[in-house]
Amino acid sequence: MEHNGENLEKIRQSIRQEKNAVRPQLEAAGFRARLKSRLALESMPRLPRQTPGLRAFFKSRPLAAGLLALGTALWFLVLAPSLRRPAGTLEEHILRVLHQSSLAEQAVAEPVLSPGALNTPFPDRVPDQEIPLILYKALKKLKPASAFPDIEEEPDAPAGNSHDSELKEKNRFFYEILKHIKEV
Amino acid sequence: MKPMKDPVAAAPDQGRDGLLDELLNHRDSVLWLCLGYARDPVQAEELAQEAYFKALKSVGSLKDHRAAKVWLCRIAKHTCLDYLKRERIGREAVMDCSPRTIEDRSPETLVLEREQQQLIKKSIRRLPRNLRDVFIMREYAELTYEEIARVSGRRIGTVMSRLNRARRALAGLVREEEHGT
Repeated sequence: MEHNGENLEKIRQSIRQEKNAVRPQLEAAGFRARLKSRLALESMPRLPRQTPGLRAFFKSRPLAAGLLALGTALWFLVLAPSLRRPAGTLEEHILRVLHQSSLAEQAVAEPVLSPGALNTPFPDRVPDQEIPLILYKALKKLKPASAFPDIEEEPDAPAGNSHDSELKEKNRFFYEILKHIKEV
Repeated sequence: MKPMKDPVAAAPDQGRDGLLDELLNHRDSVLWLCLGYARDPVQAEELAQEAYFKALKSVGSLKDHRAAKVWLCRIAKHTCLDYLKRERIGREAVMDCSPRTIEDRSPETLVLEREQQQLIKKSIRRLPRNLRDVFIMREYAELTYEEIARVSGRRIGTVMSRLNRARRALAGLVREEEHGT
């Protein structure tokens, strides 16, 4: 108890010393002048502050920024492709179409089978020039494999109607398919 | 953005300098209170300025001008607590109690005094908040028990008991610090 009393007196003395040492530094006139100049500064008309940009907004809210980045990444990686892509692979899609409408036989009779002839739109992201190749692979699954030539052989496109010649030229794989379907 | 109204000029029935002078009568109490919380005298003055500025901005909330001291000390206390929260100096600050003035004492004495002051400040910061606030208001700002009770919104009996506990706890903490435990 006596020890505590001594310590307490030491503490009080130390506080007194601290205050005495600081007192001249914090003289009243200077304090008042500084306060008045601060008040004057604050009461001056100021230019409107610039609206903080997105960067400043997210800098002050790192959690929001993180969530937004995560959401965007999720959208591009998972949600967006799944919305655009039909269920299953492209080949499965074509096979399904061919089975359902028996268009394989109709296609044999037609010199040119355009995507429209299937009555079912191909997925948007398939370029036109890829359609014959995809169809070839699809048909190969329906017919015996031996009935189809090696795709690497690239046979010449047969002559056909004049207005279709350009397309025939372009889709020579497709004509090969049709020829072999006829034979089978 | 609309320019801010000059709070002093906006005060009712008070001349600008009159109100400022009236509030500045309590400058020492505010300053010493801030010194109790701050890490050095410069910081203490900044906190006191901040407290005065806040007080002048909300001068309309001062109903009774006779209670200006208590009102100012309450604002100063909250300003200091905000500062502690912001800086977290309670845990990691390096104390600098060195006054930058010309001293007539020997350098050895000054060094010893400063070491002692640092040790005591460190111990004050280790006190529980309710004890620390009462201790600073009493020993630094030299407020009366009644004023402390009004600033902290407690009864005088509570203030006295907390002050007693604070002194005993602080004496123990200082002893601990001295023995390096």
